[in-house]
This record gives sequence, C-alpha cells and structure tokens, in this order.
Amino acid sequence: MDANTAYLTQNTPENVHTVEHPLSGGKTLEEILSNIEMTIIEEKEEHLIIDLVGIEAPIANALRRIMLSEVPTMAIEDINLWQNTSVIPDEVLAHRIGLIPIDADPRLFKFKHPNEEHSSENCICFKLHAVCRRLEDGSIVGDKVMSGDLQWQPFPNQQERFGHFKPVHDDIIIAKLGPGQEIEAELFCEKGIGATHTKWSPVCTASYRLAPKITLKKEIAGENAINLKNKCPMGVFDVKKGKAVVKNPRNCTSCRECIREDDSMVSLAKVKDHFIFTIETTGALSPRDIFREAIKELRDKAAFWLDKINIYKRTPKS
Amino acid sequence: MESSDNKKFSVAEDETGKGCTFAFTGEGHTIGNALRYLLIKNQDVEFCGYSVPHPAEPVMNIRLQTYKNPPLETLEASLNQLTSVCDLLLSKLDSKNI
Ligand code: SF4
Repeated sequence: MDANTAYLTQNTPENVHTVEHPLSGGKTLEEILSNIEMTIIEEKEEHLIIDLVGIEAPIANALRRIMLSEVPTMAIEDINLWQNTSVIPDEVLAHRIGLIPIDADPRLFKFKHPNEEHSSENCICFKLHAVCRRLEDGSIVGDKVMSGDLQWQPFPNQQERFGHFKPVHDDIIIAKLGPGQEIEAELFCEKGIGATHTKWSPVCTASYRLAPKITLKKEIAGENAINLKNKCPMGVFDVKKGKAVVKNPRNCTSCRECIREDDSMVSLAKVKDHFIFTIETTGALSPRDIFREAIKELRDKAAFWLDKINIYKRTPKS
Repeated sequence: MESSDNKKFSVAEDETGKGCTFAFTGEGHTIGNALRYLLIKNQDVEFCGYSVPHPAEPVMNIRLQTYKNPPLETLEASLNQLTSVCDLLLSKLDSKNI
C-alpha cells in the first residue's frame, strides 16, 4: 500500500492515517516546501476550483477556516429605523437587511472601533425608503422592497475616492408591503469578520476535498465495461474500443456504487496530499482575492504573534 | 486584526527550562493546529500539542518540550516558518503560469 493513498473498500476506509513526524516517516518541512504545486482548475466570477498538491492538512485547514471566518468584508451593522409599518418586526427586518452582500472592497476601509464615529474611512451609508401605494386604477405599486432600493449616501469625498457602492444583487426581496405601509431606514455598513457574524463571511462556502484516485484492477471489456459505465452516477467511467477506462476521476463523489456488488474491478482511493479547494464568493471579493487574502491573513497572524513574543521578551519578569 | 487589543500572549515555563505552555488569548484551532504541525516537524522538539480548553473561551494553549533549544525560540522559529510557507503560497498564486 502506498502511504500517500487512502483506500475506500466495501466496508471501511483503509490506510487513512497521516504521519507528520519526520522520524516516523513524515516529510520534513523542506521536502514539503520544495514540492508544493498550485493549479487553478476552474475560475469563474463567482467560484474558483484550485488544486493544492503537496501540503498537509493543518495548513490547508487553516486556510479554509480563515476564508470562512477571518477574511473581512463590509456588511450592514447599524440601522436607524425611522419607520416600519410592514408586517415584519423591526428586529427581523434589521437582520434580513444585515445579510445583504455589499459590493465594496473591504481593503479600502478600516475597522471601526466601538466608540468611533461613522466616517468615510470606516463606513458605507445607505438609505432605504419604500412606500407601497394603491393607484386610482386599483393597481398596487411598490409592494416589493428589493435590495436594489438601497440608495448609497456617500460620505464627503467618498464618491471621488471609491466610485460607486451598491448591493451585489439588486433582486433580493427584503420585505413585502401592503398599500399604505412604509419602511424608512438609514443603514451603516462596517468592516468585520465572519467569526463575529456570518454576514461578514466573504464566501458562500469554502471547502476542500481530497483528490480521488480511481484505477481499474484488471482489464474490463464487453458487457462488464458497459455495466460499469452505467453503474457510476457521476460518469467517471467510459468505454473505449470495448474496454472500460477511467475518464473523469475528479467527478467521483465516493458513493462506492461501483464496488458495492463486486470490488474486484475498481480500486477507489484518495491522494492524501492533494487538496481540491472550492471557493464560492458572495460577490464582494473575487474568489482568487479571497484565497490570497486568506494566505495573507495567516501570514499576518504569524507576524502578529512574533511581535507579541518580542514584547513579552522585552518586559521584565517579576 | 479586528480585536487585536484583546489578544494576549503568556508563558508558563517549567523549572527545567525545557518545557513551556504558551497561552494565546484570542486564537483558536486555525493557528493552533498549523503551529503544532510545524513544531512537530522540528527535530529538536520532544513533545508538542495544542488545545482549546473551552470553546466559549478564546484561549488556545500550546504545550512544547524541547531537547536543546529554549522552547520560546523554537516557537519563534516555527512562526517564522509559517510566514515563509505563506510567502511561498502567495508567490505560487501570483505567478503567471498557474
Ligand atoms: S464511487 Fe461512485 S462516483 Fe465514484 S466512481 Fe464509483 S460509482 Fe462513480
């Protein structure tokens, strides 16, 4: 068995442990650093699939955790609700508004200290005024309050410096109004991190999985090959010239259907140091930027604690 | 960092000088496990483990015992290694041919 491969069998996963200590056969840091590979598999506006080969789980997991909860974004934090005659209670409405993703680069802003004023440096202000009316011909206008109804209220010289801010999507329903009902509010976005509240998380999800390694244990031909192809719901196998081949190993979801009845044909495995990251953004930062910011955040953390240690060393011990 | 003023570093040193428990206030598993992992790779480390004693308390402890060097220096070396791992990843991400 290959130490770098975990196997899926009919009953259990096998060979799943990892060895980190160099004296027990783990790799040294130098070996790891000289063999890291990064490949972008798919990059779209809203998601990124990136392969990280050669690192080990603690680093991969640190990056994943940071993307989820420590890369900052801007989100609505304070609301002055001047009027709310809709059926939605104030606090529920405020919570819904808070979750709207805002299209603003958080790197342009500073964190707001609790007793600091809102300013052009740490805040984006929006106004929301929605009234629903019944017109003379009986039709109703303004019954849906959408995220696109948020009006940006720039602070002095924000417009010259930053251009324009708005919610990422214009078509999120915030509330529904009946004729005569009204919502009027002032909203203040602040910079924050997902650990405080998920509304600040830059990702819909960021996850990794290990790369599947699928091999055929023997030559499979004829009807068996067609059966194997049809068995896999993810289209992993194909038949070429009457013989089964592994066509799309990355599609495998590890459902184990292909080995359920007969495990003599296919070997299902995972490469233990091949991490496939999937990053989906909420829209404020590009997924590549989120990944980059996560790495920077981890580096900043290390630098921060080095600094703290230096201060500790300089303070006299009692 | 958002709440950098609530972050504290403290050390409980053994009498032998070869063992230390470091407490990182304001940190969790993210850097705890990564640091533990890098420390384990160090040949001078006899023992290293980390824990978050209670999920509601923002404290992460690293227990470190070394053979030769002072544990605090070993910890610093690992933090520096973490920085270089990140630098390497950043350069890979920003290189043209990825
Ligand atoms: S485990 Fe499931 S998805 Fe993967 S190859 Fe087998 S049948 Fe297909």
